[in-house]
Amino acid sequence: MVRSLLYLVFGFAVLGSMAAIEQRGWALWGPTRVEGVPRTLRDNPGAYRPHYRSSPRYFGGK
Amino acid sequence: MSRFATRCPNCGAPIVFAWSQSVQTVCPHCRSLVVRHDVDLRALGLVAAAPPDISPIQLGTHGRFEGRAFEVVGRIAYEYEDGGWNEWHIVFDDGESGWLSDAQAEYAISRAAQPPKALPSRSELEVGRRFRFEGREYVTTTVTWANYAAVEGELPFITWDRTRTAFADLKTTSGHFATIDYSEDPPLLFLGRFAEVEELALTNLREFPGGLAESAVRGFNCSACGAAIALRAAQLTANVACPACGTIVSPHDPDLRVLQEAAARQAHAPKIPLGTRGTLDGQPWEVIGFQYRTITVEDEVYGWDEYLLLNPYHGFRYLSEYQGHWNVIRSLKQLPVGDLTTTALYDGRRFRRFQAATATTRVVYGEFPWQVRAGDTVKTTDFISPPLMLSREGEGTDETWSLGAYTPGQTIWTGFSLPGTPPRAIGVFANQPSPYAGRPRVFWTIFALLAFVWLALVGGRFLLAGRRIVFEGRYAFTPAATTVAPPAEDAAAFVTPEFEVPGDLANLEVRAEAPGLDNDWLSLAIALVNVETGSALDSGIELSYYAGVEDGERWTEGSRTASLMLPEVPRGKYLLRIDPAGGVAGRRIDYSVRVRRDVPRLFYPLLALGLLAIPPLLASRHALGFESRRWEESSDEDDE
Repeated sequence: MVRSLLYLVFGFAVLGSMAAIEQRGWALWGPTRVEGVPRTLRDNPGAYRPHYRSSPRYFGGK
Repeated sequence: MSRFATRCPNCGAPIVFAWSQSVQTVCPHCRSLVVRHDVDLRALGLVAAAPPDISPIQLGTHGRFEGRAFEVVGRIAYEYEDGGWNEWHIVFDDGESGWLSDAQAEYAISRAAQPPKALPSRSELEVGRRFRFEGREYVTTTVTWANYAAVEGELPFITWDRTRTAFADLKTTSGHFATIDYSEDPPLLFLGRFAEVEELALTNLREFPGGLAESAVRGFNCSACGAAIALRAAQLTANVACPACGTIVSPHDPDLRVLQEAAARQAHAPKIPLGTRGTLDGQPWEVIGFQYRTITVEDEVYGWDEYLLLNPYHGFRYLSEYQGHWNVIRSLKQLPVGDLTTTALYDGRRFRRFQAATATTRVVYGEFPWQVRAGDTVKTTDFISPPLMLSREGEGTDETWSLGAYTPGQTIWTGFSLPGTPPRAIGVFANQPSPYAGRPRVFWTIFALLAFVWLALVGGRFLLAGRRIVFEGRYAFTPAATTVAPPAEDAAAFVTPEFEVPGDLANLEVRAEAPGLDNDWLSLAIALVNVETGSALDSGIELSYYAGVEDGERWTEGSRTASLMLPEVPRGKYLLRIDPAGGVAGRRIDYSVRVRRDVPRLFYPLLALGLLAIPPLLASRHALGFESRRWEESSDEDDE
């Protein structure tokens, strides 16, 4: 009985958390958050060095 | 009930007939058997005193059965090879007479009945033969040869003959019983029903103020070692094993005949000493016998202790102990049904066959209501429905059924006020109740409930989510041809126009699509920049699409679309910095970028279901593990 009650509490806690996460758009992992992007970005996009870098590579093909 | 008072023709003492139809009575003063012919009385001679017993019933005991009051007015004490039983003559308040059987404190009320057709002769009657009386099916369970040992009080017929005669006991699956009495020709039929002592509401019973030990009618010395033996169960005891040396003697033999010499060295000591009194299920019990029994499975010997308990009002109980697991066991008056091979049904429960083996009695101490010797073997079959266990001992024509209830050792220890602590229970016993029983079912039910609520919420979310497009743009990118010097980093980077992101804190989906991508790839480093605060979210999208034909089969790999979810984006003005990179130099790639606000995700709802499933999965795993350990102990010599 106690265990069932605990499970019920756990279940509602999980659902409440997940509902809040979904509502706020929170993610366990995702993009890097950066502060202080220069205002000159619009004129010189190359001046900003994003943390995410792509590197040219061959993705696929059999 | 009208009473008829007169005087004994032998001694002149007053005699009262409680039942007008009584044919004989025994003078309570001189023990003359007095036969009544209308108002004339004749003394036939003296009758033997009733054998000592521990029956709580006596002449004058009152009770009730099926709404009618009765009084005990007479008694026939029967004796047979292994002991004895009483048939108490009862008279109901409406004048009908019947019989109250008291066999080892198992009670049954019966009345004479007319058989629908002629009953078989004694030689034709076999154990197992079935009859149908008054709409019920009866099966013959035992045939006992017995004779009158003594009579008391009023009886509806004259008993003088002590010739040994046969009595067949028959049972049903509903707690009814029948007796075929071969003392007359044609045989007599009695039909009745078993009853618990509480149901009979007996009053004016014999009392045992000092307990059984003090009311023991006999004490004697062991024929072999001379140790004192107290006989607690009186005529119910078929044999008694000396508690000192284990020699088995016949207590009913004037010479205390030795039935079996002590078996080797009986070094196995009972954990509960003989004579210990205690309480189980609210009733007082006294330990009067002990045996140690073993079975052999795959060359391994498994042994358990078995105690015999007696309560003169409630009969016998058995207490078994194996590696700290205890069972309180009682004999069944009602036969189980079912195929009795793989399953047995009793009292609405389904029992599964657990084990069949041949049990051997190794050590015996104290008194037993049946003949028991060290070395006795009997086939046993156990069926389980935790916390209960149905056991069949013997087979075919000579089988008995009992029902055991798993009982914690501490209950036994407390009930019998034993010193110390009970032995620790090792492993999982056949009918040990699972601590996880029912939990998976409850947990999965709760899971189903929560999942239903969750799926309804998620469904609502998917239906009502905004998915509002806040930015859309089309672009082209041509990777630079490889030169001696690589192109400068970020040479192709650009920013989009500003766009407004409305609403409260929520996610943003950035989706890229390159419909013309063919055997090529496109990588977009994307930063969502808040132009008001200067904060950015850095991420990227990679597209690749390859296709071809190999061995005549067309294949494709990758996708021309991909998306990126940016979490917790507050309202404000934003732009995207996009830095494309591509595969095939010089080949133009046209692509589009679309930004949507408040897009529902599937990952977290599925994660929630996964987390919710953990407790019921664990409960199921524990429950299955417990059952697996239980059935590991199952063995079946029939399967070997």
